[in-house]
Amino acid sequence: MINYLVTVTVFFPALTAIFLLLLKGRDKIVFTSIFSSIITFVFSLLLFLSYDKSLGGIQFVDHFKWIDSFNIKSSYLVGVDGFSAPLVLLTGLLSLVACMASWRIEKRVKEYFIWILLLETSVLGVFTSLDLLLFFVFFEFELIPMYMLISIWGSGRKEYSATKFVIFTLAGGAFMLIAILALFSSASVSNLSMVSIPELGIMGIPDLIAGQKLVIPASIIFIFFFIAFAVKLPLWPLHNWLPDAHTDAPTAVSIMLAGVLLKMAGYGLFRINLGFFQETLGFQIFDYTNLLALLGTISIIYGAIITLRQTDLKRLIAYSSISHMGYVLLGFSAMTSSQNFSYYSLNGSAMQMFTHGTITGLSFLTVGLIYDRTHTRDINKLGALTRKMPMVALFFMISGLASLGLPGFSGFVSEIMIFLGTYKIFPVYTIISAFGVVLAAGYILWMTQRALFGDNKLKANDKTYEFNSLKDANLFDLLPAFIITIPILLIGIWPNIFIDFFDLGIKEMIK
Amino acid sequence: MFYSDLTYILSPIILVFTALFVLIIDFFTTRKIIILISALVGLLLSVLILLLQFINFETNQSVFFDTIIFDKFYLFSAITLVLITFAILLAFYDYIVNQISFRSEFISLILLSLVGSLFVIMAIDFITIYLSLELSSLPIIALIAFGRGKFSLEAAFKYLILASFSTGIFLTGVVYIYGVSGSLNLHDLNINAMNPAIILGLVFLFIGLAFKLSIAPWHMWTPDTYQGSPMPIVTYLSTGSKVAGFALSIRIFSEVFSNNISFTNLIVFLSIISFASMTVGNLGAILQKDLKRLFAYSTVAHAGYMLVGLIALISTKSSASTTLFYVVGYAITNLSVFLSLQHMMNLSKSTSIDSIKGLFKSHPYVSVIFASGILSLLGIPATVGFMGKVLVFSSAVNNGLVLLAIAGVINSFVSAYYYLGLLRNIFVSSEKFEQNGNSNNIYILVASISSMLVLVLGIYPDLILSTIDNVISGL
Repeated sequence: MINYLVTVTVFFPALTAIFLLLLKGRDKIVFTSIFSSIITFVFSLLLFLSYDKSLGGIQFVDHFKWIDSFNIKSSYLVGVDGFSAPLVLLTGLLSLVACMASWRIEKRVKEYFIWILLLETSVLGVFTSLDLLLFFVFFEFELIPMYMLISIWGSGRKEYSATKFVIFTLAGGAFMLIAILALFSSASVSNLSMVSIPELGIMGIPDLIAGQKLVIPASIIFIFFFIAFAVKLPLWPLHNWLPDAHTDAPTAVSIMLAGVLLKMAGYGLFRINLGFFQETLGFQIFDYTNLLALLGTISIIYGAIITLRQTDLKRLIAYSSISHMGYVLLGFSAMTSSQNFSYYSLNGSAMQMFTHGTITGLSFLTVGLIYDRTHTRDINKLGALTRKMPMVALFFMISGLASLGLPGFSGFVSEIMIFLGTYKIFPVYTIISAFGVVLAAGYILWMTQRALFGDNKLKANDKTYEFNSLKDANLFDLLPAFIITIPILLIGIWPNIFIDFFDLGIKEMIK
Repeated sequence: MFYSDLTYILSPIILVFTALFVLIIDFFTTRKIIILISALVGLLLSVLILLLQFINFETNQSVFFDTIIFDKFYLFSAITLVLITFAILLAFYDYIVNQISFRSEFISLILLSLVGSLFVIMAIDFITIYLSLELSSLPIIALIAFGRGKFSLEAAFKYLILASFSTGIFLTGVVYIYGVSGSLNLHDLNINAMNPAIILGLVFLFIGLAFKLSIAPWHMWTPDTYQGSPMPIVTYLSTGSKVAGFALSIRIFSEVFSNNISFTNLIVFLSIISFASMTVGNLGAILQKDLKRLFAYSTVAHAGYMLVGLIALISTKSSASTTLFYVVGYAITNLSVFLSLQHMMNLSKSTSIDSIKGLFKSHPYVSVIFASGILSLLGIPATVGFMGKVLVFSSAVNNGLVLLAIAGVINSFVSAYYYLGLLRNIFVSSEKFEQNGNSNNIYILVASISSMLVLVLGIYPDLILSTIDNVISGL
């Protein structure tokens, strides 16, 4: 094993951000940032590949003393397990794509890349930190880069959206902070480690609180954590910030937001809500799974129905994200007792996080390419883009088809796994949710038909066609789209490379 | 005996002599810079002595007939206080030397107020506490009036009336406590029974202090005084005064509540006050259009957060370390905020929150320093403000004050609205910054040192947290 690989991976983008302060000249800054994100991606790939699946457990652990006072004892504890390794890889990949997609940026270039790189560090920190307070630090820190990125480089009502995003997330974070403090104040909790690491002699919170009395009832702590993650996921009825934030954010930020930031919530659900609350006194996660499945189902159907009505391309994909993240929750909640589990569905839920990250990333990337050229995202004004920019349209179609769950693409794998697993446990919710797929087919196909093909606007070389002068994207524009398409197709054909990892991680979380 | 006691108060003595020396050399020189430098040298000397005393500290000493206690808590708070005053005098070098027509009296009064604050922290006798409180607040009244502006006299008069009023209430509390316990010494205070007179006395005592700490609903003077005072005094009020006031509160609370009696009523009363302070401060700040008034309300809100730690102190003594950490962190943060604020106000010649629009494009450095302070006040991770909030709320939850902690956390995201509004004006606004004046870079220099501390202590709080724990355990 390589020493400090996780720490280096997490902080490399932040160090580059500091280095950027010294640089002058737009090209140098852009080049350095892209180069740095390539290196971070290589690090994350290295982590992913050198994780020893036969050993399992937490690997690449870095452990230092951090805070040791009367009231809080916390340590710098990072590492990856089977569950977080793919998510670290996803973050590395999407940050690379986000940096590459920003190569045309002209406005305040240096600050832009500094914030993007700091954002990357904080997301990587969330996926790798194993100490609850450290997790919270990274989870909250991401707000400032996002606020700046949306409010400075965004479009439309950018300041309103950015503030809304921050206030929603801070409100969620407030609940999480209380939950963390309540856990720590409980007599049995002596450190804030999220997992037990026998090699280091660390007892994690899941073991420490098993069967113990907590300061406030475990069910309330569970709900507080859940609210924080539900805001981020986002779950109906707390989803309100997402469409605004997406619509007004620049392309790269939308990619990061949908691709990895929403996954932090899913990760938290698994690591904390599932990991901690299986053996707690007086309450187990299984008591609430019915409710969670209901909320997931509502999100799926509600999100899909709202999506049908959208005319703004970005808003449409944002609402479809709500629907797709509903699947994550539905798959997550497929358990009614410690015997009645569905690994299928839990794995599917984790896979859905990964596949949704790549697919939505591609969607936002191609919508960004379209918007750069046509300067509109209004579906009613677009039409017949395939004639003028076939490559962009191709990638947009790929993302659309993958998103509606066509076999052969990654979206199919995760959705089918979720439905197969959940049907055993919550048949009614599964049947209702399956209509979400139909609705998805509806909004995706209808949207592509109007935006990419739609013949209402033109004949072949019609003089009145307003997009006649459009040029297709060049190689640099398409390179990130190409990179991100690889995992979409790869998972569609050979899903086991990631399922193996998630399976390992989830089996360790469940007692 | 008496003369050997003098070594324990060497540092305040040096400051008193510096204050007098500054007044005397004023007759012999016309250059104000010499006056300022001699004051700074005096401050440095007293910090050095305090540091030496801190390093060579052996045991707690009650000196001067049990009116003063010499312990690590005093030394730590005093070092913080003197360093803050040093930083303020250094940073406002340009203001003192070039902008005001007054000479040595300005510096001398600040030093005397500092001496008062040092004695406030050491005192364990109610008469000594009362006298040193007066010594620390009377010079402030004169200093506020130095602003010579339209609002200055109003501000000074308001502060005068309310300070004397609050001292009256404080003394009333002392009377009740004396009547029951028969002693003026904190050590002798024995609250074995739930005597209503004692509780009443404590409540009066607290209200008297709450005026000084601008805790709602006794905060009314704060916005007006901040608006009317010269900036060095505002900075001193929101940093130095806060440290002294909360140090005194920690001392009184930890002495008085050392028994194992439950003070449920008192805890409920203080919790309501704390909640009111946070809410009034944050909601008040949202409405403000003037930067100084906005930060005055923000001070009120933060006093509410600090009070949370004090309430937890009633149940467990170790909670005091969270309050002390919060107060020190807050003082460092506010130092960088107010110094960069003064720099910005010098540039724009205005105190309106609209005057800082587009500042980042023309003055990136001061904007970043100001922003780091704002983020710390807001409680974003990697700043000392975040760590302070986590610690204070953890001590609250530890002692069963879950609802209060929830109220505090919710309040801190309400405050995001106006703090982010400031950041939006600086970083996001596309308007061009109107520069109407010039400023001195020394503000930025001192502010950047304190904002470095904000980040360092936010990332690695153990740097002073272990010292603070050590200090509190010696109380």
